[in-house]
Amino acid sequence: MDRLSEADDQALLAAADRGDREAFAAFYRRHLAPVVAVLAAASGDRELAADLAAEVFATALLAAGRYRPEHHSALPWLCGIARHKLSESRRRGRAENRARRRLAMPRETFEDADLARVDELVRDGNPVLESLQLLPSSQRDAVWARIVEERDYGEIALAVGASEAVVRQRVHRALSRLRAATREED
Amino acid sequence: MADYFDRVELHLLDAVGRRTLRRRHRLYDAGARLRRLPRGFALGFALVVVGASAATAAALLGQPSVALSGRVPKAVLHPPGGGAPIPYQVVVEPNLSPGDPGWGVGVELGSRRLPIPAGVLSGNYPSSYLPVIWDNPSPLQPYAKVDIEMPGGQASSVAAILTAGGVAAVRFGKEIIRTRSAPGLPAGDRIAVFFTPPSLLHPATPLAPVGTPQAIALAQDGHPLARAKPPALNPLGPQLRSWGPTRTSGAGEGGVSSARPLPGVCELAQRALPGLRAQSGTVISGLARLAGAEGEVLEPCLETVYTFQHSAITVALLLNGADLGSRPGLIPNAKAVRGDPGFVNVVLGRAPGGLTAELVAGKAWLVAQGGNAVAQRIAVLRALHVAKLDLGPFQLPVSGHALLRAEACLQRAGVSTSISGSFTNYPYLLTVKSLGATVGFYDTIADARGDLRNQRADAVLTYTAAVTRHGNATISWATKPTPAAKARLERCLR
Repeated sequence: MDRLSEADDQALLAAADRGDREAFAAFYRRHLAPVVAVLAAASGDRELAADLAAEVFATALLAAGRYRPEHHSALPWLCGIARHKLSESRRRGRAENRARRRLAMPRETFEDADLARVDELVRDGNPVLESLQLLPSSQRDAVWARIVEERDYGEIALAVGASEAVVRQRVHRALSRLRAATREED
Repeated sequence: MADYFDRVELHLLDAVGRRTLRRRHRLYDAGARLRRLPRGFALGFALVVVGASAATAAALLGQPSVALSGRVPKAVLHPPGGGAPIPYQVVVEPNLSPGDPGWGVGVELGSRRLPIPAGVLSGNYPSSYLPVIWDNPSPLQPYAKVDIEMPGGQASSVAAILTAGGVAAVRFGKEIIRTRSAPGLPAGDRIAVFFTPPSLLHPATPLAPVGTPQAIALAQDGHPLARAKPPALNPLGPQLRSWGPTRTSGAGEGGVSSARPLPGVCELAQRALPGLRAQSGTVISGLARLAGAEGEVLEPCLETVYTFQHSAITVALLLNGADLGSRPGLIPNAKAVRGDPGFVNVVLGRAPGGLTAELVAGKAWLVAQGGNAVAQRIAVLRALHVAKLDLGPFQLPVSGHALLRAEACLQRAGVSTSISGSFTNYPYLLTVKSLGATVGFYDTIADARGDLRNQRADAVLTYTAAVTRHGNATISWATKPTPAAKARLERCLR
């Protein structure tokens, strides 16, 4: 199991794409908690978070062979999928399950007893990610684009139709809030 | 006993194995089909496929947009599980969330028997300063697209970019796609719909990776379209507030835990309809005409999610964003509902449920989306009426003016400030590190305290909006500032 616990995310996904079940299991266990934490924070609904977490990992499996690492961790990529799934679910008024349908995965029933496990995963999830989801959307997108995607301020400003100064302000405020949240956790 | 996440893991791991097997089978089948063909025909077929792939890259140069619906050419895509051409459909629908006016663009592929995910871009409208719409609030995927996996781990895509009426073509990377108008679009807008080979787009990721081509609007002469200057942004613009039983736990800015709708510029009232319950929603504190809108654009001023007959139905009120209070434009693809005069319905691609609307007093569309039947949505709409529709110009709260004045004064004094977010009737807190350091304006005490600790500020003061209604701010120092800081800051803030 050491081979898998030390492997980076790209290696795990590439192996999973070739049919290595253990590799995908390691990937799933590595990132399940933060993904559930992000979804729970963003939706405020533990059952929906659990449902969409399954959808996020099904999507990741479908895209495993096409994953191109831009960061050491695949977590930003998973968080992006999570946000996309959540917004699509809200738009459609029902939880997304397209990826699971494509994989012919049954939709698991969520029992009351599972709520405790969600809480446990949320606790284990990265508090910074949880805080990220609690930021105002303008700040969250700005900090995501700048820090995670490493985009230029000018490029972000053009995309959101705001001035560079406004984007810088948003990033600054978002980072301040995140730092504060992290210290509170400490 | 295994819990939910353990069971999900088992299903995922089963899928890993099944997927690998299926892919091998598919590759084998493709080879078998070629081998069964006569040698000459097989060579010709191979040349056509290779040629089509190469031609796809080249043919996009100056290529006209394809129609909003049709079939993806076989030569471009190889769908999983079959060789039949795949139907595609581009759906444009109004956004229903206040503060996010404009259109959602979705691309759907496949039929009911061959479900393939849709690519959806939600939000925003083409304008004189942003003629090609970009995703908002996640601006990083500039187009609606859906990818189809192809043998070899590659993906090809169908993409759609909504543009202003003056955009003759869109340059996307090295390719140029000429736009077209169509009945299913907002009046005055155009669209570029095109197929992309795997080499053009990155794999399907929710956020476009670095290096993804940008969509550049071109004028008729082939040059980039001149853009108008974006309107100045008001950092103290209208405030959005979301409500619902669990909103405080994750709604972000403006989240309020409430089982009842919050007040806003638009409000609905409900007549008795057994089983109809408002669950959550978003209201806005002010509306403004959408500067630079070129085509028709609908501006949501209220969104409420109801449950009715075990369905979730989203209700919104949509105004004419270019001219608030005047008759709003038509909803694309809306058709009159037979037997229910006054109601129109839109089929939203293959999504279950659709969108049903009625025009209220000639000023707004009252819209219901979701549920499972037109009759169900009409029942909901009939049970609701508009109780408030305040179309007066948005007035910046007095406290906002005072804050803006303070900001200018602080900047003149050499103190950098950061004002953003929404300002209404809350007390605002300022943390002060020292002159020359950042001063933040916060909506909540928790935010301010967080930054206070983070920046090791010298002092924190409260700045009360209630008193600013009389033109002066009340400042009370929560901690003791340095005399110099106190003097200079109070001079600015009073």
